[in-house]
Amino acid sequence: MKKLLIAIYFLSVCFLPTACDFLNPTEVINPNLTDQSVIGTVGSAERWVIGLQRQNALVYNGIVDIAELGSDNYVNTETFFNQQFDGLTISYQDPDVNTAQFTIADLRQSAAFGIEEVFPADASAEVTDQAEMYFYRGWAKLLSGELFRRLPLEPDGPAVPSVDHLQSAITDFQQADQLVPGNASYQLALARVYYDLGNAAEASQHAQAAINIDPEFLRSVEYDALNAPTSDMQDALFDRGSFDDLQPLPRLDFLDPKYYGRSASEESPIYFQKIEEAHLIIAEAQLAAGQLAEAQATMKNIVALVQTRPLESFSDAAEDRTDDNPSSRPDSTIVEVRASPQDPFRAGLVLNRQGGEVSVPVVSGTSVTAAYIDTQNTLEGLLETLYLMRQEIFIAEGRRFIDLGIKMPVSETELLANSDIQQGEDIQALIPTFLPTDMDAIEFTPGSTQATIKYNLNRILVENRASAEVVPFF
Amino acid sequence: MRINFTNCVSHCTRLLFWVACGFLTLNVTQVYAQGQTISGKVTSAESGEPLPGVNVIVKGTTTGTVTDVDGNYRLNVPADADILSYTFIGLKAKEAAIEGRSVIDVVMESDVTELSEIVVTGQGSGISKKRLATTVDVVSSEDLANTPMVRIDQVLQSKLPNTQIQLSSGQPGTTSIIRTRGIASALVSTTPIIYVDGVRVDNLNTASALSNDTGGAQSSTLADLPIENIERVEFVKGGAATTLYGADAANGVIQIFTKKGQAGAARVTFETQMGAIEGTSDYFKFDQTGELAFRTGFLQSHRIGVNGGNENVTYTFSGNIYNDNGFQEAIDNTRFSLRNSINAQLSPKFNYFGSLGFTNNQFTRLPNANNSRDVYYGVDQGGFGDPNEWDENPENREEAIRVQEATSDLYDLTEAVSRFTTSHNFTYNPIEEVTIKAVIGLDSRNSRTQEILTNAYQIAIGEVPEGTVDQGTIDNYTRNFLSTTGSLTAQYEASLNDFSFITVVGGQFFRNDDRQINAAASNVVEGSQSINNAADNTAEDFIYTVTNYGYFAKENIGFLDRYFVDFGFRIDYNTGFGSNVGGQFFPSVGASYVLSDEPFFTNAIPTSVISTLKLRATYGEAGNFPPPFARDPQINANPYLGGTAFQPGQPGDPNLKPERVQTLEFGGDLSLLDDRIGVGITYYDQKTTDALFTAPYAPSTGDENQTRNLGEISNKGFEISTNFLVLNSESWTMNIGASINTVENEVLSTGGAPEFNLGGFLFLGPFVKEGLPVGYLRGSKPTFGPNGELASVEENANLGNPIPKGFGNLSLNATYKNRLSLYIGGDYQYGSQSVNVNEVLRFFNGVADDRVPEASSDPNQFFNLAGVWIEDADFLKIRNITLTYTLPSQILENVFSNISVSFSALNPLNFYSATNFDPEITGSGARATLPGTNTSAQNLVNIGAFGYGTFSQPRQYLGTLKLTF
Repeated sequence: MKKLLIAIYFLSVCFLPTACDFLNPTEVINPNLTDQSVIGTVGSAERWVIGLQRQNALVYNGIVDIAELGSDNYVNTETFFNQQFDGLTISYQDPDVNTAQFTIADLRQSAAFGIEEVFPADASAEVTDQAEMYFYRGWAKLLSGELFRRLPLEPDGPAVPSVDHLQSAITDFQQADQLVPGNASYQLALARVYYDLGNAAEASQHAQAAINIDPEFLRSVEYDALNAPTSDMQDALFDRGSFDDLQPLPRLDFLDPKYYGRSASEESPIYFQKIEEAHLIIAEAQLAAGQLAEAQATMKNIVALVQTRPLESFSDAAEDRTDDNPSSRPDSTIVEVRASPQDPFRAGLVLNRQGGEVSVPVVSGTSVTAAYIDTQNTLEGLLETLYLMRQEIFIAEGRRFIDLGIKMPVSETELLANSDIQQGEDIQALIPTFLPTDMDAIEFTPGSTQATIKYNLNRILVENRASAEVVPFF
Repeated sequence: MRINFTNCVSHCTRLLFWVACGFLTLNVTQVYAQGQTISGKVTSAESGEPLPGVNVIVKGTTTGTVTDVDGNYRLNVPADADILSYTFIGLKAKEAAIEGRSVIDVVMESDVTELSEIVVTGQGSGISKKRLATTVDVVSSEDLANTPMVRIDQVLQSKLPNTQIQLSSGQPGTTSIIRTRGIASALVSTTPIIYVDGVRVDNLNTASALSNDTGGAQSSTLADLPIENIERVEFVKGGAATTLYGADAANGVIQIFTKKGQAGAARVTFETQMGAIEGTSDYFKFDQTGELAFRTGFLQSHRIGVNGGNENVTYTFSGNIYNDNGFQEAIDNTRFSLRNSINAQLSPKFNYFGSLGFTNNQFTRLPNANNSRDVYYGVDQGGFGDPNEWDENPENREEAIRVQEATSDLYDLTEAVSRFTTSHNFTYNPIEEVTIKAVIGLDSRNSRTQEILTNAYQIAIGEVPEGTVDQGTIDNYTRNFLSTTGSLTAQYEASLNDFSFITVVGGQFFRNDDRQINAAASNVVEGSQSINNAADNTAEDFIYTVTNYGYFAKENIGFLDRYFVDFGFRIDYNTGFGSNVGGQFFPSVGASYVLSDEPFFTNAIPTSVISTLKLRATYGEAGNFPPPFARDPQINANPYLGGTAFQPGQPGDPNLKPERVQTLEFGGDLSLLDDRIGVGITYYDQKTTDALFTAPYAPSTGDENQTRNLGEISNKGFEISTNFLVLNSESWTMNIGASINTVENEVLSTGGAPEFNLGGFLFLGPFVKEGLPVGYLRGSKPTFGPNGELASVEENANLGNPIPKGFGNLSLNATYKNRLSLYIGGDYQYGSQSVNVNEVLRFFNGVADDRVPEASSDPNQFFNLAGVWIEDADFLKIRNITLTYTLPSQILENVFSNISVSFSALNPLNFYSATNFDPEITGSGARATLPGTNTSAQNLVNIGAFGYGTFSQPRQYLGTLKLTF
């Protein structure tokens, strides 16, 4: 009887509906957010734009270090950063090519999702959010066109030439500009894309418009030291905690490291848009039009502008030239550098990192002075100086690679996963034939006071300015 | 009417849980029927010694007892009882007719083939090996006794003949790699699931999703699984044999059984172990590395065991305190563990068995592997110049010493784990043929890790400039894990003429709740151990919750006690399956044939020539379920610069289901020459379908990698285990065991997905590609010209296979007059390759060997040289040599019932093919993100094969004194 009562008791408990409410081992709640729980919520469009800013930071992590290594700006002496780009071996099988392609496509598609799904559903969204979504989609297309020879413009689409991406970017930037007129960022973006396309008139017009809106304009990619992403380029140039050692071309030594650890909670930003570029575009357009004096004046304005940009002082003593073989590269103020065996030695380009804090320009810097510009009276001289200024002002921003006319191929992963990608040109990098593969080579004897760079690439660019790949206004 | 099947199933699962709970509190009182009392003594046929722990039961009932330490038993038997049955693992079962006797002494013989051994292969109550179409490896308490180790994977290393266990680091508490039949999954760890007394326990043997990164060494939950007081361990290999364990049993099942006490007065055992622990320098290139890194540490372990009880209730208790202060400065490990069990025969039909274990494990670790703070390997990798030239460059030695001292003194990584495991088994025999068993239990594991990087430390190792005061960091990681298991099974045994039947039906659920938090601080004020004293704090959490529930049935039919067929299935539901996926059906079918029991066979061949010949074949399926929440499309809300950044996350897959491992295996077991030679051979052909790949989409989609059922993986091979009774005389016995297992692994299909990698480095890593083994090593393969110049480079070449083509164990067990025994155990592998990362780093530091010709030694181009750093990873390691002496009973008088003294050398000998790295350890691969993503994850496959930067298992020289009162 006792057993029976016990059994009845437990069976009753088991079948009580409330028992199920008390304990349900199959109830599992995903703590993460789904698209359903995000779309339509108040503030979702604003947060989506913040997401695009964050993705843009990831894009710059994906492109800047390889682009700098794939130029004469930096050489990789001993790191796990990419090594193939240094020697201009740019293969579709390189995982970094895939990362660059993916992060940019992610930015494009995220922006598209924001435009099509998030913005329309958010009643609290503002037109500035919508404009930013168009801007970032255009920005992704701009980078696609600048960095890749051919690339799909749509998910799983066929690879189309870079010019298609650039032209599509114009539409997005114009859309952003129409939504929020008078925005220097959108005008400067238009100036840049027209510059890439070789349209000097449109480029100059938008560049001037940007200057008129904000003559000191800066826009940055921000990194989050606490929550990530942190800056890969800061890691490569300054942080010594991991195994890395990127070394600048000696004539650019005074500009390195552009990014440094401001504190444990603050990373250096990358200024991916700055008004200097508008002046540089105008100056190049003036040179292309044969207006040498006007170009000289513009270039002096740039020098003056750059001088207003901040220098910051910090200890860079943990860095050596190089870390593994100290003193094997110029590392002292007594070292003079010449841009090639045919150029004169110049002092003041190399810092002494072991002599206390160094002062380095963190937005823009240049070794070019107004007086030096006055000494240049030829198109070639001025154009070479202008490209040196571009190199110096844009150092560590991934721009030199583009100025050299190098473009990456479609990645192997895209080839394998996308049946529209063809063998042949789709998966071949574009490297101008006039570029030497050892373009960051130098001659320097440890202990000596003189260093010679093997190639003056700015001069090579000028000499080949008629080439379709470089110096777009010529 | 439309029935909501999911709700129905969910309700059934809850019902199952409640029924199991009902058993927990059901208390039945019964009075024994009057009968007679029988006593007797059980002794060994081989040695004549008394046999403690032998199960003695009245045949056909659950009435029984076990022999005491002197082999004696006393049992009240019903008046109608006619036969007593005597069983013990490793001995041939024996039956004795009562025939009115009140004293029955029995002599039992050892059973080399152990066909009669009872094992728990499915969710039932037990079945003899003879009836099985698959194999089960059993490690007995005697086998465990000669292994003075404190973690389960270390204990089992070299003891499971068909399983390879590699400890990935010599530092305390770190992960291992456990593999049986190759790598069946490109996503999920190869670690088997683990049950303790029928309850699932945490088996996470990879980095947890939120964990500190010391450059490869990651914490494992296997390091603190309470393993005191173990009666035996059973290992069922994955695939065909684990169908009844369902959706995540593809890697096999380890079952740990706690000892049941023996009736009688309390028996107390004290065990004290002391010895030295020292790092092994076997793999170093430079002697200075060991000289700088190591010091001889002291190890002590003290254990107490008590067991006793009466005929109806027995109990056991065991407690252990362990400490070693490490083979390096600043590495130490302290551990407390307790375990008890109670077995109560509540009535003739009702039995309760409960066990409870607790462990507290605390240790400190140092940085290692791919980490700039790894000073010790920094020496061996040339980070402080060529140590052989330190006399000429004393500043390099001084720098190494300074950094070493700074790391020992200032680096601070501590981890503390508290773990509580309990199991409650209720067995009810309503009638003689039916056993109903309910199990409920849980495993609660809580760990916290703290890493403090002070400014002083960072300055000392040159990470930040002198004078820095604001870059101290503290990282706190906590992980709270709770697993709950409930099961209800019914087993029916019946005979009909020459047929015998064992039928099992049942259901089981388990639920794992895993919650992790990383609270980090930066800009920490010097001297603080709290994140409160910091300018900036960040936090991150990780939640994994999964419930799995399933129903199963199994039928084992015997004919003439030599023909057996076995078939069963399990249907599993899992909260991680996609919304379009319902119950998953896992079938199995097998047959075995004991040819040696055929009359014609025994007539033709004397049992002294072939005593056992059993043939078996089986087919079965088991699974690995996908990670929780992998099925759901997600929007990531990332903290970013004080705001919330919405970004697209994984696209989700409503069709996500478990990968399915289909295994066809056949083989046989053979005993020759009066069981002096035992051989077991199995051929397996295993195919993983719907393999879970976290493979990329086309980059143009911008979509994050998504875990999908894409691939097919094949593993094939032989498993051969042998045992030779070389000596069996009055004074001497000697057993030699050896096994060899082969693995042929291949990715049959990637389901159209592009090749993808599973960790490693950018220039050299394990990849998944059709036609090649899982995790094949991909990188550039250089060819050098006559002058050493780089003549050509094959990009993305297949550089090696990280999965050994063969592996196995070797053991020797010798005894002299049952007083002196010697055990030697070891294991080996061959046919795989590893990356010698140490040598890569030496290359950069200018202390490399001559594998890279001078003309090609530009560090700027080392990606092109990847192939030169791939080496064969063959090894043979002797893990354990233990010599034990048991004092003669005549000198013990009446104070002790047993005294033994042991001396052990652990990890004494290493033979290997690689150059200056241990092919067993791996400083990489225990990843905490899904392949190709930043999505936190855990329990991911660890390919290994990156040998560098973490110390190997230390040598230990131990003396053990064991006293039994």
